[in-house]
Amino acid sequence: MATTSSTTAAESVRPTVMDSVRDRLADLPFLNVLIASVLLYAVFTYITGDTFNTWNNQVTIMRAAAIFLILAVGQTLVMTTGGIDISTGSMVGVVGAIIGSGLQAGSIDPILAIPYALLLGAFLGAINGFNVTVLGVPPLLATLGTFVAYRGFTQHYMGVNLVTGLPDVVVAIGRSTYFGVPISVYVAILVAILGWFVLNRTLYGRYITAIGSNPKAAEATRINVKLITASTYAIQGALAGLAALVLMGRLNSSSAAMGEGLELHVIAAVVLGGTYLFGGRSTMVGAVLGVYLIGMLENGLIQTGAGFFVQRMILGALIIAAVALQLRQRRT
Amino acid sequence: MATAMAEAMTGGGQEAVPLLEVKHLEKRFGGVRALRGASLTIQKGETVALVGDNGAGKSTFVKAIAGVQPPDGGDILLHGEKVSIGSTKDAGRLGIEVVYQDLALANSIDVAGNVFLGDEPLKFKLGWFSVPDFKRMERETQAVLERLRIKIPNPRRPVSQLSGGQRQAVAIGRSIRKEGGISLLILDEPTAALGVEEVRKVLALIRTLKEHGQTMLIISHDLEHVFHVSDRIAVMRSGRVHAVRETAKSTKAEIIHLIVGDIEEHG
Ligand SMILES: Nc1ncnc2c1ncn2[C@@H]1O[C@H](COP(=O)(O)OP(=O)(O)OP(=O)(O)O)[C@@H](O)[C@H]1O
Ligand SMILES: [Mg+2]
Repeated sequence: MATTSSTTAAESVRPTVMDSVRDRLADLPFLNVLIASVLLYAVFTYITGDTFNTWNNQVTIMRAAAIFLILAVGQTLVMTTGGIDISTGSMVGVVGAIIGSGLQAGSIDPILAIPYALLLGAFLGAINGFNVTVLGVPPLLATLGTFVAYRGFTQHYMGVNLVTGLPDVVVAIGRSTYFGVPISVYVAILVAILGWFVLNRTLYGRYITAIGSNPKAAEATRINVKLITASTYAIQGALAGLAALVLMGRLNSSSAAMGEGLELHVIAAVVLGGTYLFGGRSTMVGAVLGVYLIGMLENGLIQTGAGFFVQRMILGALIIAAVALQLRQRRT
Repeated sequence: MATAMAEAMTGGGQEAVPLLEVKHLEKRFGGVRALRGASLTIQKGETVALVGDNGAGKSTFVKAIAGVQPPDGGDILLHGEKVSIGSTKDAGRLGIEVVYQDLALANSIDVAGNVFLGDEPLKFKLGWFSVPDFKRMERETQAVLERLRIKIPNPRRPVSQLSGGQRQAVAIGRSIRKEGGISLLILDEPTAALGVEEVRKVLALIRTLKEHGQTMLIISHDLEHVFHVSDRIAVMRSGRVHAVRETAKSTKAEIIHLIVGDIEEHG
């Protein structure tokens, strides 16, 4: 078999071992972030003389990262379609305000807090989806609009009030641990696994990839492009609702400023993880690693004495660098 | 319907019933009359080339048959029966498939994924969250490609990494994949924007389809290719099928003359 066909043209272009190794690596869009994470870990361990490299510190990183991971899963789905959601932090704010106030006033049963938060978030996200798909507003501007409007609503609703003394169930979601690991981390990991499955193993994942890759191709099939695209924003909204509960529980409070700036971390993490900003190519594993990388970075920077503002500068620069890198790869 | 299908399957004793009969199609875009009573008949197993100057109405004609832009007037008969094609879904149900000029492939998805996009066989059914049967998709794609005598060294790569000819083959494979085949395959400029070697492969692919008895309507600007693969040539001009010639009995000079007319203005 092999000998008879060894002289055909196809054979002469057969990929070499090196080619196939390179192909395999190219199939790992999260390779960069994996390498960066390992390097950063080593660097911080070296600089801080081992205070970074302790189980307790890793738990601290994970606890902070849990919320970002929940949101990064939804952001990855949105970005797969070629969209972006910058209203994420503001949606967390709205859910925190409404559900938080309801819980404090006793008008919301703590057991129902989770479904209510998910539904309210999904509704807020669905408005983004509607604006993007039905009204045709470009995602960046559609969610910039709700970024401002949702925050405005939260500030109007809350004023200078601070919700405190939340029910034990909610506080437990944010604070308690199981085998030394925060519940919120288990929740985030579960969401990430579900997200991975949906993206890589289901029709939904296929379809959002097709939509981001070539909307015309998707439209030429029986894929309901608008509904599916809109649904990614609704999912991101629902996850913002979940993240709001976790955050409320962790802080045991909510205020008009809750969730501010979250979107920056989330978008940075997803893009650093290797998800293509222009749609069609995305990675859940990369999102997890991206979230962890940024968590490490912030934690490490604090330990090495750099302040909050320095963190923001570095985060902003990282987003630009990651996108610039993607643009370069796109051209080649 | 059932009898028409039976006839189509057996090849039919009645030569008189053409596969497709398009009668007096009309289509208006505001003030522009893109189709002005365009008519064309295609027999089963035939390869008809559709030629004409830019703006003659070829794409509009094809879009009307494919349900992309339903016509304002006229009739379409398939196997002798009048059909109404209001959407691409209608066309698909009737076995009419189009491979477009700007190949509608999802670049970051692999060959099998594109061949089955939107119509995946399922391993586990749950609406949007159904799990496609990837193994079966790959197997059946391999079978389709073999039937077309197409070699794609690594079908698991995203199709963005394929050559133009291979992409054309994937798009065609996608259209003809359906169980029991399709009745009419329409190719819009299948050789445009391809290198010499790629063009040769695509023409070979079209001839393979012909051997399989696939009925085809091919839009092309390249008369060389048209003469290479077609049985008949339909010339469009100003929204009408102006003339139809048997390829074997015609010449390029004649077709060019029919396309351009007597140095008259076109808008
Ligand atoms: N969607 C549309 N809106 C307005 N006018 C249109 C539209 N589609 C086509 N036309 C007009 O209808 C006429 C026929 O166009 P059509 O695209 O069918 O030509 P064609 O023969 O396919 O040309 P080409 O060889 O350039 O592809 C042209 O005058 C064109 O400008
Ligand atoms: Mg055209």
